[in-house]
Amino acid sequence: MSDKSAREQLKESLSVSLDGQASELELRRVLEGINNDDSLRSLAGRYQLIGDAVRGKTSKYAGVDISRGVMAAIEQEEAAPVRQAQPKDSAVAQSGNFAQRFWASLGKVALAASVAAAVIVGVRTSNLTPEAPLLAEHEPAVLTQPVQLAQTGLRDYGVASVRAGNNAESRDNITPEQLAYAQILANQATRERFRAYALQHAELSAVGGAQSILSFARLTSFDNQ
Amino acid sequence: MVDSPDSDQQLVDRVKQGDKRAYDVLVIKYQHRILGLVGGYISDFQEVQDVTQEAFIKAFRALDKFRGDSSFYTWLYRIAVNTAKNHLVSKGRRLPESDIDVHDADFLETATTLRVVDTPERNLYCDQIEQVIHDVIQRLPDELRTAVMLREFDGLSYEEIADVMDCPVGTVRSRIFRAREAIDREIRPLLGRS
Repeated sequence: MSDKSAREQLKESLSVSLDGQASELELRRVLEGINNDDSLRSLAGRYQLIGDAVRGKTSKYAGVDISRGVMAAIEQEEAAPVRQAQPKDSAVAQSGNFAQRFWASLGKVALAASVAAAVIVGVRTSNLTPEAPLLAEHEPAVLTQPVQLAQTGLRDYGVASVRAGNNAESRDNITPEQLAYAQILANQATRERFRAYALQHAELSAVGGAQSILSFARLTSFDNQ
Repeated sequence: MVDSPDSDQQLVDRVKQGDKRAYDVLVIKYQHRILGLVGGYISDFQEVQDVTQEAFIKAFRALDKFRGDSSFYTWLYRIAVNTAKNHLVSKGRRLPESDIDVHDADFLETATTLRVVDTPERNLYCDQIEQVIHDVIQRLPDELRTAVMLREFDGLSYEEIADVMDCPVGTVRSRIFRAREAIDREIRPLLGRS
């Protein structure tokens, strides 16, 4: 096969490859050719221009070529994965630390909401839970305690849930006003929780697409827990 | 080359297998359309190039997540729009009231004059190229003209064109190539002068 014929064959393979109709072998040869031969690369651009012109979509940017810059940037990124990863990792690590702190706070808010909801459920039903005999040992507490304890640790919530009235005695002593207040607390906690979800999602969206999607999945899975 | 899902899937699959050279071809295919799209959001020519480059790089990084539910160009288009909008936000500029629709992007007339690109000379140059291409197509033998128009304008696959023209697929690919070569011979001198 003469050189001219081989060249023509490669150009035809390029034409076919751009239409997505090439065999694997053809495509490999074309990719190697474009990588090594500027004239074949330019030809690819002109074939594309022909198609654009047929469709009446000739770009004002015809003749502008940023492809080399794009591939050089990609090569550079891949050649220095550690250097490139650090800025991303820092951002991700920062978002991760933020996420950890955030989840810890969110957990407290969620538990406070659960506590308040439990109070409401507890006073609205007359059935004792299996834990009630144990809980009955604890003294009843003022319903403002869950709010106060929202600023302390998780452990206190456990105690607060007991003190807030999950026992028969305290249920009987809870007034409608206290019940309404518990409802307000629960609603407030829920609103803050959703605001926090939105903030978290927005924060992580700014960091990176993939990460934000994953974190959103975590949000929903947390909801289901 | 039409942006049908099939025409790019082979290249996309190749990139996913680790062959970056296939992505180079995708950039060559769509760089002008994406430049035009980004140019609808950003007026500065250098910034248009930078943001377009950034969009392609982001698309490369995210290519593993491209599932082929839409065409590659449509997916790339969305990334480019988001990249352009993020750029505007980062510069403290106002976003346009509505997004540029993917079907309108190629026909977009920018409201702001692009000093380097949107000049009368450049517009004349683009018109001239289009006119030469259409003139050459009209002069092609019928079978070459039909094959290239069915492919470029109607977006038919080689198999579909073979059915329409009642000839083997190999003949279709040869006709399309010969048509492109004939057109390229006429436009190459024009582009060399640009």
